Amino acid sequence: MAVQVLFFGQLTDITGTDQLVLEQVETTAQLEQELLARFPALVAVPFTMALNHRLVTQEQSLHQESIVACMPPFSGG
Amino acid sequence: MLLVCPLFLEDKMELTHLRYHRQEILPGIGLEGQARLANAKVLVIGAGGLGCPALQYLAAAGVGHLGIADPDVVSLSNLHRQVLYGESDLGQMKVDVAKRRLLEINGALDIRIWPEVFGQEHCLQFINEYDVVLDATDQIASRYWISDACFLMKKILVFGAVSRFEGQVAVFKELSYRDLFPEIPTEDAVASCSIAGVLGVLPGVIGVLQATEAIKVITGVGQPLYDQLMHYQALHSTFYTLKLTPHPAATGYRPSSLEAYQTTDYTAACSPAVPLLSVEAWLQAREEFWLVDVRELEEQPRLDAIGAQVMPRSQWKERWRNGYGKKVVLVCQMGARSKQAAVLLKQNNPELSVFSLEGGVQALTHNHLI
Repeated sequence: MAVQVLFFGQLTDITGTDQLVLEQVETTAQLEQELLARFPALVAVPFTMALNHRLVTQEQSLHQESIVACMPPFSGG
Repeated sequence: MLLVCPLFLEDKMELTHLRYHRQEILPGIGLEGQARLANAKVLVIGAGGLGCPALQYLAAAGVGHLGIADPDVVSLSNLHRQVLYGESDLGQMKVDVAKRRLLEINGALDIRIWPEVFGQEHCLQFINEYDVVLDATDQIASRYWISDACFLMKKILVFGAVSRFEGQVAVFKELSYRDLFPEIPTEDAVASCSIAGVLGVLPGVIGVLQATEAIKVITGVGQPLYDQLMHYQALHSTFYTLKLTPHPAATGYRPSSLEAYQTTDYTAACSPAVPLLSVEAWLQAREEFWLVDVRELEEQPRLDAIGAQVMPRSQWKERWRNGYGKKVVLVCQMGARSKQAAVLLKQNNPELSVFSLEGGVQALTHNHLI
């Protein structure tokens, strides 16, 4: 199973890319763990996740072609 | 093109229809929508990069009552994106210049200004007088106190924010910013424009989107971005929209009542937590610490005598080599720069234990150590 992950804002400074594909992640919680393992610096940056354009507020299962977006807060104006 | 000198048109109604004709002929807006705009009250908090374009279009569109709050004066670094201001306005209060410009655009408007800091108390006192609030501020703390106030007072909030080449816009109706990010992050964890930079036109795009959403909310045309966040990436010309759902943690973090709101300290909640180390504490356990002088090479006095490692801030790399096995204590002249540097160092190297030496070189001198 392949899940597409999108990164926005300053998260891309840490990940070095604005999207990647993750295999073998079953849930949003697993995905978050996998991201933190790959990019430890993410722990210092707040971000929220959306699964298929809907905010994730509790663990959800992922499916083939799921798209998960990682969105940090912006403060600038 | 219809060329009629307005001065010869005595009927005020006719003038108004002439002015807004192209908007009034739109399906879904019409005379009724235009009348709603004329009666509408919109509060714009922040007259900077987002506020300027939003205000321009709200004024031009005929939004009858505008409130503008901003405590700043126009400075040179504002001009690349704050399009209501020009070189001759430098040093003047933004709200004064903005009001003057907007009345030049549309003299029939009723504009109220707040040149002082528009804080939590103002929110409680004045938000109720407005139909829609635009958050056009530039700090993380204000994002939260504006959102919490609007949520508690059931006021529609049009949110806008930018960073570098990207922007976000949202219209909070049933839900709020707390549902996106329940807990206030520290300021250092969110990149500000003064540190991260911003493409001048970017807040223009987002500010105009905020004005568009406000006009949709007021006239009832289309589907406003109710409880959705839209992200714009200028470099790829892409939009990404996500729908909010109630976040179970939001209620716990948000003040539960207006009384609780009044006593919530938003600024303290987001100030960066950098542990300070006093000179005395450092002296007691000197061998545990790796003292790093972050000042530039020309700054005096040098700290060679007390064994400080020299690493000028301007030459830092993002990642530091680990394995020194010691706690890092940064020192600068007065203790302010080392504090900021410590925040950055910790952010880029979460595994390090980082401190900032309180009082800096001045405190070391005071203790006769150099």
